[in-house]
Amino acid sequence: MTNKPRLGVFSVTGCFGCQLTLAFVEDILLELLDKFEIAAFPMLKQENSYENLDIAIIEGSACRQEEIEELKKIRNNSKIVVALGACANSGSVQSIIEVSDKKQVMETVYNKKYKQYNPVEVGGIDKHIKVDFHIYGCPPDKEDLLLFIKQLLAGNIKPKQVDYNVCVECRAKANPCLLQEGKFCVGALTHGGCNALCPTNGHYCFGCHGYWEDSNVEALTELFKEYGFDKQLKNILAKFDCTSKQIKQIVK
Amino acid sequence: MKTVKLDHITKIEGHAKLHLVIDNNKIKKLKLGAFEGARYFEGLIVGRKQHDVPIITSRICGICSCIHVTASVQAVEAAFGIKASQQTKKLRELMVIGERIRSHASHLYLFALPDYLGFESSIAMAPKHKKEVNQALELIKLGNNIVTTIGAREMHPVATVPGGFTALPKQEELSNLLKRLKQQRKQAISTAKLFASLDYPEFENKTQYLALDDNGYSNISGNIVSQDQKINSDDYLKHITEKIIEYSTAKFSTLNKKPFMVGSLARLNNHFNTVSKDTQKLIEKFDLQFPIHNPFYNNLCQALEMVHHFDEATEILENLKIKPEQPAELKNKSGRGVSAVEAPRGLLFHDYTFENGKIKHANIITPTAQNLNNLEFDLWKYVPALLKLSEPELKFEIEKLIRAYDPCFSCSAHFLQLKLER
Ligand code: SF4
Ligand code: SF4
Ligand code: SF4
Repeated sequence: MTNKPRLGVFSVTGCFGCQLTLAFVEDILLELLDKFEIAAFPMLKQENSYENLDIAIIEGSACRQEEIEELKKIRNNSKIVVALGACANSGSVQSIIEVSDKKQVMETVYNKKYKQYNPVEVGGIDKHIKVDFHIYGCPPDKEDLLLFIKQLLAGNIKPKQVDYNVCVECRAKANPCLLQEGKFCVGALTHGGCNALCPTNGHYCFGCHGYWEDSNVEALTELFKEYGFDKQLKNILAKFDCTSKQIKQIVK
Repeated sequence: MKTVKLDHITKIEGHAKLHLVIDNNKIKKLKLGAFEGARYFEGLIVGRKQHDVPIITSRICGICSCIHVTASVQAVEAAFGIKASQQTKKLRELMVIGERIRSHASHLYLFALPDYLGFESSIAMAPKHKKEVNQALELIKLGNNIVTTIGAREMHPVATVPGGFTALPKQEELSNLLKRLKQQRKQAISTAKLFASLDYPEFENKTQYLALDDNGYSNISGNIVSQDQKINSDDYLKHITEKIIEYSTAKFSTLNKKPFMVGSLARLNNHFNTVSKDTQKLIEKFDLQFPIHNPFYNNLCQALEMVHHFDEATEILENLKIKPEQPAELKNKSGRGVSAVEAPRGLLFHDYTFENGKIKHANIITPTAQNLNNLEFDLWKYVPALLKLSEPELKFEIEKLIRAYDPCFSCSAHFLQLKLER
């Protein structure tokens, strides 16, 4: 008998980008798979068991009632549940609907001959089940994700997770600061973990890792106003984490 | 009466199910549907500015986010009357070729090959076929590295924006890619040989085959052809109709009221004589007579395309000298822009209408949404011959056909989630 941890990798509605980020660890994939007993991974496997999981990694957010049931089933069978990526943590771009005129959004896509369908409120999976760990990003950074998995494998049941904003990593890379140059960037409000990917590549941070809880949000929104960026701020933030309280406030 | 339900078709991207009712050796009901939740992309981007649109629509699909972003920025540019620079076009093309290589390699080796070699999954296949799995991973890695070198991230690239690139690759990074393409080319060829050696089920179902055309095989530019028709990309709506089906969250498409197929098989059926010389030589060597009407050959076509993409990428890289360039600036405008491109799984349309720099209307048609109808059409014809099989065998054969299409339901289904009004 093996005593490898039983792992399940599941998805509800998302884009499969997070699971693929996990699967595309080319050099060590086989080695990594060998460290687990892969009980379920419907993207890669035909036979999937939900029973007695040690770790369940979940991508996506529930957009249909059946998916909420699926999440509960996974939770009831798993010791540890990990929310992987922006969808699972806060709904990613599908959460935009929660700060839009819902009826209008649906009507643009709906054929009129169908009755208004009753969607579930979009958000992170922790709306429906208890989540033990959060890995942020749309998609998450591969190194960040691997570090987390390695810690879990080493038996660390309280793995260290990123708890700072993008600016911390951005300064560590000695990037010139866009905001200080009077240009737009929401790195200060955003969870780190991506190694300041966008500012390093000539793009402002648009917040794909979600809202960073310890942001000095009042001071920052004031600053954005001063710069004349308030409209842009709303537009940019109305994307990956529209269900967090603070973002809802800024965006509305 | 016998009911066969495949409630969760595995080893594909996305969530789909099939409901089949057989009575007296005849199919009474056959419904293949996507059951992804709705994400309403076309509704979500209404009112958005040009720079927000690709960031949002990229999330339609992870595995093909580069082509979604490319279609999106091209549609924005068309609406704004901007012409991308030659360098920008080449870099975009290279990025989507990288994506194509990783997408084909993962589908061929990780999803389809276990079907043919008799394994439950690539994970189960790995211990006995280390060489093949390692080859797959090396090809995926190369594809990923091409994408990252240009787009700055494997999934949902950040450097590709309307007007150009926010950061450019270094020349030495490109030389490095060129070197690796040359080294790994034999892997692409051995992939084609491997997939030419497999036993594909005997089955034919002639349909319409639709592909992009720019004086031959094309990835991101041009108009649309089928064997007997040329369609201007801007006019796609006059020919392709999307229908809402109550059992699927993805729409079903028809071309001139009939099902049609897009993807590798459709591309080669139209363009087998304009792919790279060495790809043509392989086609000859394998004694393939295009057009081919067996959908299982889609897998072999993907493998052949991989060789073509290696050759295309090599040619681009041998001629590309990066010069500094800033993305073109976009001033608020009104107008419509359509971009038709080839995603790994087939034609993809992004169609935006802007009013004063904000989206007023959007239409996006993904490849799997176009193929679903044809896949159902194939199943109606394929299943009757299989009725003698046991239920697990029948299910396996059906899934095998579905997987041959390399469907991506995360892509196809994010537009509708419906309840039928009765
Ligand atoms: S978080 Fe982003 S990358 Fe992950 S599934 Fe959702 S949309 Fe895709
Ligand atoms: S560029 Fe953006 S992420 Fe970097 S330090 Fe400045 S505000 Fe923070
Ligand atoms: S810089 Fe911001 S937008 Fe870019 S990857 Fe990091 S968190 Fe996401």
